Parts: sequence; C-alpha cells; structure tokens
Amino acid sequence: MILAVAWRNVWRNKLRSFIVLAAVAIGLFAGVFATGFYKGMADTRLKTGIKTEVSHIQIHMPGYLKDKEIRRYIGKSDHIIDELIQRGEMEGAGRRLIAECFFKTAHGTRGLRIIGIEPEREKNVTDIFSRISEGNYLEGNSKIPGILVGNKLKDKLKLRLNSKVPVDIVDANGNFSSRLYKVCGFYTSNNTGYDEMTAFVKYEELRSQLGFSENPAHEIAIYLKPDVDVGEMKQKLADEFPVLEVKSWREINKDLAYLVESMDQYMFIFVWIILLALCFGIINTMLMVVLERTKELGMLMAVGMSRFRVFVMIILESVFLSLTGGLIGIAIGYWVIKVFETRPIILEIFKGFEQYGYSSEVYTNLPFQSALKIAGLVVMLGVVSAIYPAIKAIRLHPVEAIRTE
Amino acid sequence: MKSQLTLAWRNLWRNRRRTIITTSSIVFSVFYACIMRSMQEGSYDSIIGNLVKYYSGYLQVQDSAYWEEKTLDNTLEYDSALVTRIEAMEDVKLVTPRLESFALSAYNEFSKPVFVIGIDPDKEDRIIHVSQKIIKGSFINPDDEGALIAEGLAGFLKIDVGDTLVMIGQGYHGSGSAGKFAVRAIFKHPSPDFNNNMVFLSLPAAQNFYSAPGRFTSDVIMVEDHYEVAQVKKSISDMLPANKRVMTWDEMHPELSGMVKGDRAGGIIMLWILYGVIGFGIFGTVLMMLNERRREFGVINAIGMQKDRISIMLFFEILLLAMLGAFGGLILTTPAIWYFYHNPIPLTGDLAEAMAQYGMEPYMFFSVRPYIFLIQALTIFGISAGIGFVMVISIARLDLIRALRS
Repeated sequence: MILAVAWRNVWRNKLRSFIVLAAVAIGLFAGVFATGFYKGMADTRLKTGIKTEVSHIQIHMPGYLKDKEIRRYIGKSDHIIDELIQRGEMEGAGRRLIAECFFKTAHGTRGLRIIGIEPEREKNVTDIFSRISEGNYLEGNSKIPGILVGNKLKDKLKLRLNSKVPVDIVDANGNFSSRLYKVCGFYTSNNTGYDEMTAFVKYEELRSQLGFSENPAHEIAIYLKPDVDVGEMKQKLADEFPVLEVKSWREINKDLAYLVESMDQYMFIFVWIILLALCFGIINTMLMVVLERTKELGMLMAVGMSRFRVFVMIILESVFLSLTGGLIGIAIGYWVIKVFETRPIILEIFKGFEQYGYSSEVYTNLPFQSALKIAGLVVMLGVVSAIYPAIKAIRLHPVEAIRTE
Repeated sequence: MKSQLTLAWRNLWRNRRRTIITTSSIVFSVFYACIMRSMQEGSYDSIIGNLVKYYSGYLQVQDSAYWEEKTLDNTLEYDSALVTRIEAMEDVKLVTPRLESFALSAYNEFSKPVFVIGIDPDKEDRIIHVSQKIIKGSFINPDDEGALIAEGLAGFLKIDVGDTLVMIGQGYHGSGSAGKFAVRAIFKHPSPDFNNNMVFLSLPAAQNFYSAPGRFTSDVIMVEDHYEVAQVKKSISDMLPANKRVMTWDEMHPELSGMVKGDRAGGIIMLWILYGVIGFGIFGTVLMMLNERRREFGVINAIGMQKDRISIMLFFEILLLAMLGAFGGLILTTPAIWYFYHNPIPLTGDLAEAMAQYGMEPYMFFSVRPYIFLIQALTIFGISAGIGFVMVISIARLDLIRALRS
C-alpha cells in the first residue's frame, strides 16, 4: 500500500522528479562506465604482467631477487624442472639464466637485461613467442646465436634483423666476456618500458657465456592452470623446497599486486564521490517535497497515519527516485561496457601509459557483482538523503500543518 | 543594480536551509576538485622536476644527429661563443656541458651496466646539487680522475669510497675504452632508477675514458621554470647553425609527457562528471525555486518591477550562490593544500614500493599553481551562468495574469 502511494507521489511533480532522475542516471552511468574502463585497463595490465613478464610463481636462491647476483643460482635445476613440468597443476615451467649486460651497437650503447630461456618450455610459461612482430622466435640453429630484442630498443638503436651485436658480460668467474649475437626477431609486449630493457637468448648460449658448466638456473618461473590457487601452490612449493625462495607474482611485482588491490577501491571512492554530490541535490528535492506538502502531510497525520508510516513513505519516495535513475544509469553503463568488452576503445591520449605497461587499447570490463554493489549504494543514497527531510516531516504538528496555505 | 544585488542577497537567506545545502554541494565539489587536481599536478611536477633537475635539464643543445643516434660520433665540440650567448639570455640560469654514455662497470666479482655522465662539477652542482646528496666521501674537482657513484650501484658492487671502479665502454669512432676510477664519493639519487646505475666523472676524465677529447654530447640549459621553455627554445634555435639543434625536456621524454597528458585528461574527465552532477543539482534547485516563487514574481511585476530587473536580480542570486560556494571551497582548500605542499604526505607499504618500481619518489605531492584553483572557480561560474540564463528565459516568458493566479 505505502509502496504504491510513495511511487505515485514521485510522479506528482514530473519535471522535478525527472531532473533528479536524470542527474542520478547520468552520475551513475559515468561512475559505472569509469569503473569498467579503469578495471579493463588494470585487467589488461595484470594479464600482460603475469602472462608476459612475471608468471604466477617464481623460484630463486634466497637473496637473488635483492641483488640479482649471478652467482646466486639454483645448482641442479635439471631434476627440479623435469619434476615440476610433470605436475598436473602446472601449465608450464621454465628455467632461466639472467644477466645484466652491456649492449654495443653501431648506433649506440645500452645496459640491458638478458634472459636465457629454453624456447620450447618457455612457450608454456610466457607468451613472448606469440608477440613476435618481425623475424623469428628463438628457434632453429645458426652459427651465430640469436637474440630476441624488444621493438622499443629496435627503434632506439636502429637495429635490423640479422644485425650482429656484441654483448659484454662479466661472467661467473669474474672474467670479462664479449660474444656476438645475431638479432633473430623483435617482440612487443604491452609494456614498452619492459621491451626497452629486456632481451632473450637461448639458455645454452647464455650458460656458456656466463661460464657455467652444470645446468644452473637463476629463476624458475611457473605458470599455473586456470583453476589452481596461486597462494596454496606457492605454500606447497615453499614446503617442498625449503632451501629455495618461492614467491608468487604478488610478492615479486608489487606494483601489479597493488594495482589489483587499489583499482577497485579507487573506483569505489569515485562512485562514492558522485553519490555524495548527488546526495545534496536529493536532499534539496526531498526537503522541497516535504515543504510543499506540509498541509497534506498534516492531514494524513490528522486522519490517523502514524508518524512511522509518514517517515517510511518519504524515505521510499526518495529511494524510488534515486533507484529509478540509478538503475537506468547503471543499465546503460553496463550495456556500454558490454559493447566495449570485445571492441577496444583506442585512446591516442593514453599512448604515454604504454611506457608503464598499460595498453592504450582498453577493453572495458565490469563484473555483474560490482554493478549490483553500485545499485546497492544507490538505495543507500536514497535512504540517507531522505532522512533529514523525513525527520522534518514527522516533526510537523498536524494541527498547525493543516492550517498552512 | 545595487538594489537588485541587495534584494538578491536577502532572497538567498529567505530559504536559509536550501541555500546552505546548495552552497555545500558547490563547496564540496570545489574542495574535491582542487585537492584532486593539486595532487595530480603536484605529482607531475615532482616527476618532471626530478627528471629535469636531476637529469635532463629543461633544454639541451645537441648535435642534430645525436637524438636519433646516440653515439659519441654525434657529439659537439665546445663552442664557448655560443655558450656565452645562451648564458647571456634573460631567462637562462645556467648552461653546462656534458658527455653522456653507457659502460659496463665492475668491482671485484660484481658487474653492472651503468650510465656515465661527464660533468663540470661546479656548474652541475648548481643544477642537481650532488654535493648535498653525498652520503660518504667528498665531491670531485673539475679535472678529477675519480668517480662519484650512486648509492644503489655502490651497494650492488659492494664498493666503497677509496676503492677502484673498473669500467668498459665503447669510445669515440667505435674504439674500445676501459678505465679505472677511484671512488671519491657515494651519493643518493632521488630517482630509484638513477640511484641504481649512475656514475659521474669529471668532464676531462669522461672525455679521456671515451677517447673523445674536447667533445660533448650536450649543453644542458636551465631556466627559471618550465613556463619559459618554449620562448627560450625559440630564441636559441634561431642562433644555432644547421648541425645543432635544441630540444626541450618534453621532446626528450615523450613517454613521460604523454603519460602526464593521459593522466591529466583522465582526471579532468572525472571532474567534468562531478561538475555535471553538481550542475544538475543546482539546476533542479533553481527550477523548484522558480516554481515556488511564481506568484511572487507576478506580484512584483504587477506592481512595477520590470522583467529585466527581475531577471538581473535572479541572476545575481544564482551568481552569489555560486560565489559563496566557490569561495567557501577555496577557503577550505587553500590552507590544507598549502600545508601539504610544504609537507608532502609520505607513502608507505605496497604503494611506496609500487611507486619506486615506476621510478617515482614515495610521496604524495601537492601543487599550489593558482590556475588549478582559478579553473575550479571559473567552472562553477560557467555552470551557474548557464543556469542563470535559463532563469532569464523563464522570467521573460512569465505570463503575468497566470502567475498572479497561481
């Protein structure tokens, strides 16, 4: 009964209700869309971060991550890696040697991180092989070992396919070693900062250049099957390899972890701010509603409507008003997000973010739950902004109220 | 005019509650907008400032081929006449020559690629203030043969003041180069990236190391602040011969200025959304107010107040409302921002580490540039003027008889 009355009351002053409704709808549309947009941006970053850069779990010697010292290697990596690959939870596991080197070309010199990978195994761990923009992945054999270089570095150093470049390293015995590599291909991750700093060669080549005789690894990277819990698996591996340092991507790449945790919060703060801004408008409107209906409200109370019911009625009117607008806004926002879930929004102005690993092609994304959560907040908005006007209403004195003009 | 203003002011306070609520919504949005924009601009200033003050300078004169191909073959010879002319320019604070390149550094069993800059210590110190950032040891002389190395790098190489750093690089005309340098001091660079890979040598030592006597990669030019960059660039490029060019910091770091532009655009779009919502709120309030005072307008029109005067009065009402809100917001914001400008908020935990990975200092910086605040106030005025216009139209269409009977 009271529901129906409240609903009808909302539509007594169409123009006014429509303005509030439109404000709420536009505000919520913007809030929902912005949330989906930045969520999509963060998701792409996370995906590239895990799939191209860090993988789910990495194993090192204790202390390696801190100083990247080439003598902190996992000695007998053969049986560890063979055993890891067998496991059902793993999509893939790969071992790597990593060295900081000095890169000399005809068009300039650079410091670079060189990663020695086993090309076939690496395919199950990272997707670098699918990101070759020119030339080949590290396959096949040639007299001069191949090196896979990022596109960004290609531009900076004017590299070409098959250019020969000397790579200088101080090896594990402290000797200076310079070796010639041939550029076999160029790759592009979504992170131009990473592309500029990182090059790949074959595991065996780097091993021999570093002067290792056994098969050591600086890093073992593991990519898990989709439904395996990263935290549990990490704990399990940590128990199995007590002398090694097992870390999840969250611990290794703090900015990725932070991104995931903060983006949701950050966007909810934005939605909150929009709601707060809307709140002022609704309070004003509801106050208006109470003031212009003073006489009517007095009458209702005089003929026996309880104050509690009057209170509920005002609150309901406000909730209906904001919820109708909110649902329209959320629905449109959600629909737009669905549209751009498969077609990317390409923003020229966001190009600068690529240096930091964010793609300028944004696929929007918003879980249905988040949309529901926002709808819940809208109901709250309605209730909160009506409290003060509703209190005003029930404080009316029926006899005096009836007499007002 | 004056009487309309008085009337408008009094009218505002006839419905005190509504005025206060509407004003608070403006205060809130101005407050939020100022804080957010100030934080954005503050962090850009800090990133740009770090880069400019601790590395690239505002402008650089280079060989015209150097930027595309950063080798020592594309270097300059010292042109003292040019430097004197640039230094004589009004906004230029300082011109200092540099020789920059990369090298592989080693100490004992440890090695790391490093970024080597040959500097004129005295002049350079006025830009990057290295001497104040020294943790251990003493600053180098203009013809010193020792090296200054960054703290992170020193930690990695486990090298200390007095030890000898070995460097291998590629010299002028592709010659191999190697050198030994006594570590004179260890300094802390504010940018985490540079802190892990920077080595300063004196200019003669660097030229000697790279077998490039008398050659420079660039002349770094400092101006008062980045508002003058464009002007100075123009005057310098007029005096340069064809084989030299002048570049500004944003041309040298397109990714950074791109990121700043993208981030700024994102923030401003968010603010527009907020202002849209606030604007709708004000619009709704005003519309209600018009409705409710219809009869009143009819009466004052009937007793002889012309419609355009009523319009002006109403226009003043909304303008006063906006001004109250805008000034209220600014008064609330200014002390807070002023305080945080002088005492940036230190960040801790994951956020701090994440920022370090991006090469930023872990502080929340604020900016006090007047235009940030001015724009918020102007935006609010723009919105209220638009709404005021609607009121004027509505008054012009007021039907006297009907209004009196309502």
